[in-house]
Amino acid sequence: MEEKRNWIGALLSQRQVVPRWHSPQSALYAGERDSVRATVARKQLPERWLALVGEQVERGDEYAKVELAELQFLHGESFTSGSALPARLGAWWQRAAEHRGAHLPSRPATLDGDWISQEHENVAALRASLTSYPNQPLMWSELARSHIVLGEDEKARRAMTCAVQLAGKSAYIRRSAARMHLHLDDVPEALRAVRQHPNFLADPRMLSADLAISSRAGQPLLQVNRGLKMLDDKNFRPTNLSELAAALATIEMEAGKHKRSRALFARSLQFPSENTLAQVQWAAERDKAIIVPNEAWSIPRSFEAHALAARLAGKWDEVLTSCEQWLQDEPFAARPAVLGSFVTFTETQCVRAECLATHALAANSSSVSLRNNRAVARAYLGDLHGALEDVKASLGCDGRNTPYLLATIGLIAYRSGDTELGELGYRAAVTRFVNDKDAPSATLATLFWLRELARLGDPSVETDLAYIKRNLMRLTANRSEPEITSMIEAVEVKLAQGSLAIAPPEAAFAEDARDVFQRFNPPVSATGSRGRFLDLI
Amino acid sequence: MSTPPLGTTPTSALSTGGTPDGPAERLEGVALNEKWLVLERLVRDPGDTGQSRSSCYGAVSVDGGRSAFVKAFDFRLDDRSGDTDRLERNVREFNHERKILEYCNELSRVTRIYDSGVVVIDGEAVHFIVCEFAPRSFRRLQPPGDEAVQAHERLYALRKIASALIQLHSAGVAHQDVKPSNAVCFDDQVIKITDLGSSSCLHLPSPPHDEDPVVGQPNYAPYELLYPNSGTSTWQRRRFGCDAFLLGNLIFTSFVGASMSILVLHALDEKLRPDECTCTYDEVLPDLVTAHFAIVPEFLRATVPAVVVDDLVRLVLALTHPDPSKRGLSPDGRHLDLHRCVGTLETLAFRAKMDHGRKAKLDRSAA
Repeated sequence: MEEKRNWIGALLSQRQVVPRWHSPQSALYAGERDSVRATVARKQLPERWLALVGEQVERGDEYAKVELAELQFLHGESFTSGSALPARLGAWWQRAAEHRGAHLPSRPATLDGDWISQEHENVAALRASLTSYPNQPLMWSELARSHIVLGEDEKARRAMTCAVQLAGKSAYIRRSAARMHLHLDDVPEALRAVRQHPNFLADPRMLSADLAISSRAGQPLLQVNRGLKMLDDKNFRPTNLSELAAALATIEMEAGKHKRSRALFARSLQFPSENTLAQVQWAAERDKAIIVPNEAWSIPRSFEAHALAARLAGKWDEVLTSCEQWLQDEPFAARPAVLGSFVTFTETQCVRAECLATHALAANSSSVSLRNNRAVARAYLGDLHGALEDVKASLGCDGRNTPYLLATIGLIAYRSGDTELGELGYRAAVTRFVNDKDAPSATLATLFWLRELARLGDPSVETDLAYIKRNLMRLTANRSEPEITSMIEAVEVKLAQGSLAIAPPEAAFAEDARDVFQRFNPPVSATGSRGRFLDLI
Repeated sequence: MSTPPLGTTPTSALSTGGTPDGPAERLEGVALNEKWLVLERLVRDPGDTGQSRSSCYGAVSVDGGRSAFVKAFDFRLDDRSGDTDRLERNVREFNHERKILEYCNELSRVTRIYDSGVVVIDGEAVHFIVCEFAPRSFRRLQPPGDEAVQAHERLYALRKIASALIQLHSAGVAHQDVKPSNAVCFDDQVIKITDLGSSSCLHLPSPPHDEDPVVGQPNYAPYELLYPNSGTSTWQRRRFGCDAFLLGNLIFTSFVGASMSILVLHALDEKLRPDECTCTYDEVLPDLVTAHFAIVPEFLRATVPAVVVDDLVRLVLALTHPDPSKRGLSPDGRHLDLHRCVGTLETLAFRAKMDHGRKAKLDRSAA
């Protein structure tokens, strides 16, 4: 479910407002844990206790000072008995306050730290705490999160089951569980996590999660009418209705009802969450009538929306930065890493892309896209053995991804000096894309190929590049494809740099690469120039 | 009702906060029902609005045989202000306290009611209850957090308070305001529980405070009472569960010297505290559980002798679980099972006493 296709345009062709799985504190400050009701009637504490205990303080009762300070704390007041807060009580309070957030895992601020060791430490600390006192739902859910980040899926499942058993009424825990099961491709369990919430039919957060998961899995959408009615209910908190409106808008959009979809997206932008903003940004790329207002961009932690917007603008460094932040926010997710690790236009970007892919591969070890992207980044960085290992590890995982891997073998071969295998690899990849009638992918693969040829000083590159530029609108079906635009620029830069002397390939490595290529056994039938190749589409 | 800390210093010149003394505050020297001579005033409950609500006095029987505690109620201001709702509520609260004391009069671990009635002072009616008088409050005898008090002494006293709660529960009464000043000590080592003003009884009509969100002194109250929408389904679980929490909090407070619930709230993110929170209790609960299981063991380990601390931590954690449905000690989760709590406290007290004796012996031999 996380991702099936490598081509970013294809990866982003679908998006649903599936629940986020933020850390408990992030979710708290994002308002995800607020009551669904628009107004929360706080309990009024009786004032008489303040007066009664105050009188006892005036009579010189020392312990009454402690009670008065505690009562005043509850009333949100500072201690005002005419003397200082009892020293021992102040120390106790200070000591208690040090526990704030101290028991939940900490994660490194950047992706390049030793985060695997850190996660193992988190697991050990959480386990130790749970061994002493097992009935702690947040500890279990955070343990599940750590296990997921480490790719220990079964352990994560078990830990999350405990969390749901202990705090099944918590919307945060239920939505986190649904997100985790969705990550593990277990749609029935994800739906069960949401639908078994005691307040399922009366909680817009649960309903939006149910609609998004059902829609993503192609299951019947049972709660659309209820969701639409809920949108008109003024008793609900507007921020909680935002995701529901976005989920319904996406369903309408997919059904081709664009007018209703636009209205619902506009509704979702009244009090948007960062998830809603990302959804609207995604929708705006498909429907030009949907406009994201400027003020919406001030929503904190809207990393995905920023990444999507930066990609459209071709600001690749910003894409990488946003994807890194998004991955830190949801360290188990493949999507931010796939999007970010595709950005390999400069050497610095390659380093960051490699880091992103490596980070996400721990939790998504079977992701062919991530392996392929890392192999590309490694090849550009000169780590050809590492790149080939990634390709080998991806073999046979996912047939659809094979053409990309063929192109990556071509890249590795070119970089190792084996131009013959390089050409074979790229040619096979482009042929597959052409046969699949996937023009954007064929174009992009050709551009990667051209970059390698430009590096070698091949004179035909300029002609082929001109052909692509001339037919760009047709090849991309009039859609904005920022990767292709930026790749054309990259080829031009390479052309301007001139050719490099290529050392002959290392025999053992070349043999290994050819062996990998043969294992794909591609039926390479097409011939002719690269330009005419594209003309077939 | 208010909390009369018995055995406190008599103060005939209590501050009245600018409100003139009402008739309930002028009972000194008056003979009630011709049986009880009122002595000095002990405490005054200013009530919700700062106006006089009730005053407490020491008293002695006219025949000189018995000391007593008098609680006098003044409904004059409510009557004069024409606030009939308030008047009705206060009268019902008074009647409830009187009736519940009479209902519990046979319980050996609850302070008894001797008499009740009405007396006219300067043309104004003052209603009163005459109860058993205790020379010291538990809070004065064993100040919370005072390290000079031996652990076994505290544990024995707490065991007696737990027994008193069992008596109340078996009579169908939930106290709902168990705190250090609501246990009183008699000369013969007997400890009784007092002040049933906040209590509810299965067998008596529901008092007005049953509809209040918070019953009892809020700084000791269970977490769920401080948050909105946290109601639990059954009367027993809600009321008796509150008592179980208060007992656990009393054990914690006795050793640590500060209320457990307030310390746990300090360990919560500010956005989750009752005065800031926009979440339901179900959403706060996971964080509360984490904070609760961190704070209780740490603070008890800092103040309780090592020989009993592990068992005491387990006991307090079980009694004060933030989820009322998980509170208590019974494995089937149906009962609060305070009997087991009494047994544990007894065992721990004995163990602490043995340990104390052993250490004292070692000290002596070392000296």
